[in-house]
Amino acid sequence: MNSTDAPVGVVRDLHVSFGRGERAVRAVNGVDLELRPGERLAIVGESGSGKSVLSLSLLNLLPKSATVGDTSVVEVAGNDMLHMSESSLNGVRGSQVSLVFQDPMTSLDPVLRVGRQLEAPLRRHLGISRAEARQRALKLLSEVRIPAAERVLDSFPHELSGGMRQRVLIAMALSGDPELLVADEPTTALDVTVQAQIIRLLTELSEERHTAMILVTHDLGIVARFAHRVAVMYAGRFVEEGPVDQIFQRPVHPYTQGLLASIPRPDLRSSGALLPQIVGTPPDPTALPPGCSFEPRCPVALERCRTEAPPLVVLDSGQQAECWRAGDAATTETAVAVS
Amino acid sequence: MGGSYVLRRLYHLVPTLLGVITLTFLVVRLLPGDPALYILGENSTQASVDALRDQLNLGEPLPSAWLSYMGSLLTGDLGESIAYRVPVSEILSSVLPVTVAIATSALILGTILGVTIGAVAAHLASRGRAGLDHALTSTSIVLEGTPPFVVALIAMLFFVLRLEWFPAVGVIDWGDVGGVVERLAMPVGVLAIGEVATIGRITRTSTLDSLGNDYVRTARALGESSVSALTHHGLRNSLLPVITMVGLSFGRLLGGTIVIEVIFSLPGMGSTLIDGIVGRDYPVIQALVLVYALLYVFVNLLTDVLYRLADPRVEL
Amino acid sequence: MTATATPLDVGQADTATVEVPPRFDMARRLLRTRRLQFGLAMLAPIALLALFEPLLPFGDSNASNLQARFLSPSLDHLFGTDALGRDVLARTVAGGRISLVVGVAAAFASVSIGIVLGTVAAYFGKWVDSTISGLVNVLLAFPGLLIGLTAVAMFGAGVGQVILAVSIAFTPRAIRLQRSLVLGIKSNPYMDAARMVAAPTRWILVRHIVPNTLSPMLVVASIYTANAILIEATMSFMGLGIVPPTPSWGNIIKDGEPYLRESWWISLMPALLLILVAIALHLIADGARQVLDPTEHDRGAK
Repeated sequence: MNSTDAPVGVVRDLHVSFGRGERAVRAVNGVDLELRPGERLAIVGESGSGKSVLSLSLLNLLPKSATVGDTSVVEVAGNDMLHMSESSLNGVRGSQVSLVFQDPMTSLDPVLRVGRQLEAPLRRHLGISRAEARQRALKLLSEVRIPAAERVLDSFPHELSGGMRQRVLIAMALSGDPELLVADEPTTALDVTVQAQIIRLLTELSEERHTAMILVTHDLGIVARFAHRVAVMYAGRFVEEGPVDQIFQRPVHPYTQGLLASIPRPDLRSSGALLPQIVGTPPDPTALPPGCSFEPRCPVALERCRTEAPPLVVLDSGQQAECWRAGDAATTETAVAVS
Repeated sequence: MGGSYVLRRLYHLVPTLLGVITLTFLVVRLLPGDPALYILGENSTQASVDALRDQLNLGEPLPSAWLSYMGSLLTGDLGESIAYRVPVSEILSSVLPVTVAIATSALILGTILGVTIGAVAAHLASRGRAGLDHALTSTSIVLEGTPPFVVALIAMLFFVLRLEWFPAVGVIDWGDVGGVVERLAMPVGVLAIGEVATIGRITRTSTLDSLGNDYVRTARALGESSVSALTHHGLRNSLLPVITMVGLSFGRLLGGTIVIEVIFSLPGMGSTLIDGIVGRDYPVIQALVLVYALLYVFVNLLTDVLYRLADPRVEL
Repeated sequence: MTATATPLDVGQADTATVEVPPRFDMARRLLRTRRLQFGLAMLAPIALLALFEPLLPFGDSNASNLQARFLSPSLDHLFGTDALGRDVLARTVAGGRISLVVGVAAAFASVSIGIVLGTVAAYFGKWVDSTISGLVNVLLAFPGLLIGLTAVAMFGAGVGQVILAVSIAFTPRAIRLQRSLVLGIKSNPYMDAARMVAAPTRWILVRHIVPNTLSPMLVVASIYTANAILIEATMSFMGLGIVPPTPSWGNIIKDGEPYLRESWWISLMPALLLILVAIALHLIADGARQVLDPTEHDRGAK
């Protein structure tokens, strides 16, 4: 990773909301991110944190009902995604940036053979013949470690297992040799054992092809071996961001600390302690509080957290967090409410 | 293999077909009192009543009469019309093509138009053009609620009587294609309208469903334009429910042709049937009812096979 | 929380409880659906007028006045007069009474028989099911109108016969629908629970199965009513349903047919009402379906 390379993905001040006025749902509330070529970022957040909307924004695949902030910027592989024409966007999607979705069971067209679906983006972006597309498709399938590639190409989606389908979808996403691959919860719908395989596959592919990747997930557990950097998302903002080992060993934001503390650990079982949890529920996206949105659930909240939005604190370790207590949070143990 | 499915279905159809034939067989026998007397009326001679009773096998016990009926059906003998004194099969051969032509044309026209309009409506709805989409939906609700004979009357009023664009009467001469088209345009159009409405609504709902589907999302994420995604993925998938509807539509159309033929004075199965009912010409009634049922059953079989061919998830 | 909970799911208070709406709550929700309201709004005045027709001052629907033939719609005669000088409005309302009664009677007869036989077929299975289903399949091979016409051909015309004829046309569909509904419920886990406590068959049927089929069957009853009215109208229009002097929308339209060109109001007024009632019933059915079947996907047209 050469830090002087131009970034492959830039997001500045991204605001995405749905609906208008009082009841507008503010899904993404000011996200900044920068991704270098070949870098792997994991965005971790629970349902409702806005992470899926964020991944859609990277390809500008938002529905008509979405409103994007005037000052928001999304630049991928040099393309100004928010201000391009639909036809130009179609040229970029699938070739310079791709998105892999969550549910492989329904993400493939059931009436078309896998080969047709895999060849389609190839022919569209590279303008090659059917035969050549088929050859490339075979190669792609082998890259995602699918055996018996010929037979898979001629099959229908319902004849393949979930894990196989997800590999096919990854192959489709990589067919244009994109500089950035976004994967939105690619393993959530799969078995635990298959999950690990898919994550490993993504990691290896990223290394082999020097493709930057963003993995969006709610599961901190799978992030450790995949990502270079981790961003923790809450109520539409990144509350903490930093290199993966720092985040895991020295989380700064109370939310991150809570998440890490609630990952099941073998040693807890023997001590008889209950699994820690973060009490409360995520905030209502139509009525976000003026101060820190995590405050109601935060075990170490101060009075000012409720009224003033916390500043971005940048630490030497390369982490940054939005918290009034970031300065004094070099601790790994935090008072976590045990229910 | 495909063939075996068709055979299996035919095999399962046999009891239904037998039931259908038996039911039509019973039509004559369930008439009040003495069927032959009922048919010919009070003022008929004993001789003619006896002759009719012989002709219809009414004296024979039920089982053997049924067998004779089956036997004659298999040889293509549908009895003789009481009113016209010609074999019913002759009558059938001239009226059947008319009805089939009307029903099939209406089905094809209605399906093609319906699918197109439904897809357009779905596209409009997905792009947020609710106004136009609403208009289309409301129109189709009105059309669906309007029975064919009312549509026919309105059409008659305007196009035939007032504007005189189409002829109101006339024979069907299959040799004169232009004349046939002119003559059948209104009936087919009237019947097709109802189908356009029904099929349009189903296509619209089904296409909207598939537009939201994950595989369309995948295609878009890989750079496919929304129109292309709609036609490649949305349409093919949304057509599956439409195919299942085709069978039902044909049944409705068959019923519709009956009254349409009467209104437009067309020499088809329907008007012949009505004449037969009014004139108590039971051999004709029997035969026509049977043919209607057979047509419907076989179209449904065809639809089923078509569906299985179209949807790879279903075993053929 | 169990130890296998994913880290971020923890702490979510389970505030959401699934509520099964009690009966009158359902009614209130039904009444709030816009489609249903619209449909009822269209239907109610017509239905009420038709129902109370003998008591209302519409005049005698059969009173002919040869001086006043073929009068076009005016304040005196809102729908004009027909070939015999009869007030078309009076005839239309009277005809509406018959048409609606026939439609509703036929539809509800079909649904009632359908519920009984469909449940029996699905619950007792084996040869009971085979027989009933076999008969249903045979009858379903005939288009509805055809069955109606054939039945009238056999039993003659008249209000009672028409109700019978149309019921025969719809009952097979109702049986098939109820049967598949019951089969679906039968395979539900809570049925096994009921069987495990050795609940008697009749009790299971009445308390568990049938009530759950009532909602979809009610929706279907609406549609059947609409179609029954339409079939009766078609049959009467061809002279093979309700015959004069009893008015029904179908035969009023038929009476007006020869004069379609000049005195179009004779046919078209009842036709208009026919269409309105059919649409109203369809809207009611759609509205009911939206409430009763929450998986409805219809986007856009609300």
